[in-house]
Amino acid sequence: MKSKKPLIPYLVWMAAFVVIPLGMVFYFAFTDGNGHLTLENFRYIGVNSQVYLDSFKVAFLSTLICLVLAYPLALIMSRMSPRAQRMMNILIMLPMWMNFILRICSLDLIFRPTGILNQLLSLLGLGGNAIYQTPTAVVIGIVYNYLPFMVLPIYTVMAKISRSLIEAGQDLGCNGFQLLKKVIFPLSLPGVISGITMVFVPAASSFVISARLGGFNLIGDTIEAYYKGEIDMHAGGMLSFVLMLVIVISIAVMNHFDKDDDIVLV
Amino acid sequence: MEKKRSGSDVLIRLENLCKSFDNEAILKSVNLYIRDKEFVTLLGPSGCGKTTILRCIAGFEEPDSGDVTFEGKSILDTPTHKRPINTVFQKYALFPHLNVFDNVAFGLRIKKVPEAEIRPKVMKMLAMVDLKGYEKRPIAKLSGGQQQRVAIARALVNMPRLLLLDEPLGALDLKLRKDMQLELKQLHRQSGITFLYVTHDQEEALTMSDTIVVMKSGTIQQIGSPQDIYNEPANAFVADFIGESNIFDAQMKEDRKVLLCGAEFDCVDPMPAPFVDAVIRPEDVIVTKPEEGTVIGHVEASLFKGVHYEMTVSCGGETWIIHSTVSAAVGENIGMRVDPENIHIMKKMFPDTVNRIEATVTAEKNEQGLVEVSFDEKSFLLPLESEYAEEDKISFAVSPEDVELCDGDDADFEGVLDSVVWKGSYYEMILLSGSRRWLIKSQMDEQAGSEVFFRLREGALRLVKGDAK
Repeated sequence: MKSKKPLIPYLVWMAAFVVIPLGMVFYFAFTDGNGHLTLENFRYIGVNSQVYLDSFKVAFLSTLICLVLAYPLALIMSRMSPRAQRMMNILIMLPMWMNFILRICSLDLIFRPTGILNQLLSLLGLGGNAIYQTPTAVVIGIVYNYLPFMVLPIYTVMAKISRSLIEAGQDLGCNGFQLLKKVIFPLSLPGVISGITMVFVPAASSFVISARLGGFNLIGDTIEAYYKGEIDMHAGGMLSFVLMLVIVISIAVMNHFDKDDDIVLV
Repeated sequence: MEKKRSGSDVLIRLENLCKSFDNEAILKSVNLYIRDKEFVTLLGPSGCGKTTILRCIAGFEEPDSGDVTFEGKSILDTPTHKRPINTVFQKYALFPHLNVFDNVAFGLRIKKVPEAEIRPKVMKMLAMVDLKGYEKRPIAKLSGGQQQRVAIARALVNMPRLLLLDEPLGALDLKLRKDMQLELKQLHRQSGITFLYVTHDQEEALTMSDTIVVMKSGTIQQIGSPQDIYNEPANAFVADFIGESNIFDAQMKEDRKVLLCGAEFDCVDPMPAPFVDAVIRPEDVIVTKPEEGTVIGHVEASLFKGVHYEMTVSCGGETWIIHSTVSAAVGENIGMRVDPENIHIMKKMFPDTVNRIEATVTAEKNEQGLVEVSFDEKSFLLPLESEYAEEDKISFAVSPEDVELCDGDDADFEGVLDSVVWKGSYYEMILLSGSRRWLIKSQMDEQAGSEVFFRLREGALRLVKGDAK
């Protein structure tokens, strides 16, 4: 039997930073201030239902935009010379080398009424922009931040599609569009799924971006508020629990698509 | 090259097809036609350009020059998906996201064949390749042989006019390969589709083909029926590549008489040149009593091979391989005789018996009496008697024995082995270095196509008589 000793540090890590925190989330979600079991906390969901809705709307829209932008890019990249592919990879990663908060604050400055975007628009005689402190700004922020997480998994899967499969498709009569629809897209689906997961999950639970660029709270901000300001561990726990549940369900649904070959997502 | 086939019902024709990658010529003006319903095999060592021909016909590669015509019309401007041609790929290239049925149905669905017609066609094809009941299997759950059948079914179900098969059995084990060879031959007969088959396995080619095209470094060496190729090889390369053979350096002074291993043999061929290659297949050597043979040989080794004995016999400095049902003991002397029609005379691949070189004097005689001459960007200091001026041209002959393969450190030149043929006591190699072809005799066993370093032995550059001042 193989020794399990090398696993111990990881198990300790998981226990300390995954299992125990999760347990605490569950505990606080289903208890009241006196430590008694209760379903009372479910009322926080009702109170915050609009925030949930907004969060998922923003997350869904951002993911969709990311996918639409990323897919053609990944396709083009996967057909470039190896040298150009490496270059593109670096270019896509480059923004991520800068601090997240810094990037959001920069966008904030750009979108401000006194910001560069407005100045440019005024020069063109298009008047002030209506983006600042709107959901649109939030979506732009999220897309900007998470686009690489959509491009890279799709590109990685596409780059691995064997040249001979493309040739087989052409050989069997596919024109360019049929090739994309019948061969390339189905084969790139695992990349699409992991891209969607990697964008949707953080987008749904994102915070800072919404507060900073949109001036309103998404569920991430609301949960943060429950733990920071007027501390209510029970409300925060319940909201986190439900958010987690929705995300787990969406991932499960996505993975189901992955196994089912005939279903086309877009 | 000679073409004995009649070309009345030509399906596809290659005209002066040339293709190079990275300045390396892969196809050097290939001319070939394939008749309707024919089973043609492109046979040659790896890198000879056979797969490139297939890819040009399928449309995956565009030739640099030349034409591919289909029933008389050029198809070079027709994109792959519109050509009435399907391919069975070397590594199958089955779609991993589809099951067996959907893989086979792929081409028909693209052609918008009604679903009701697709089902019976696919089922019939699956039955034909012995995969009934496998429709729902995912590709990953199939063995190599089964995947191979799916690949064949997927191509054949479209009833193309021409089926291209790129070493389709290369990845299978021997037993399965033999079975599949028979099945493919049967499929060819049943379907009435023209097959163009690519392989480096000579036995496979001999078993399956109507016509074999033997290729070497981008050129066609011989086109003919399996019997032609085996019995009447065009040159030493073909003889060596197809089946086992004894290839000897031989001389002819008149038609139908050939001198080899120190004895005169009767043959049936006219004299193409004074120096020729003679091929004798191992099974065509008749073992006799010593006094009854044309030559006498000394048995060096004898192996029992089931049907026959394989004997290694030395005779006149050459080694003969003999397949005989009569056994002789090791150490025994035997007589050897060959029927005239079993000696096949071929023109030598290298037109000369020595390498002829014209060098330029780059420095006049120095204090040590050495003249510097150079050719192919390499200089040599030679003790020449006469005086030479710079820029003088001198002709040298280098005998094949005086060129030797060596390590890169000691090398004068580097090149690629174009052909390697065992000549009974040595390997005859033709080596390409820059624009020059070298004839080399060597004891080293190197593969054709490999890159080698070589040098000239001391005194190898011999003045050609009459050139000395």
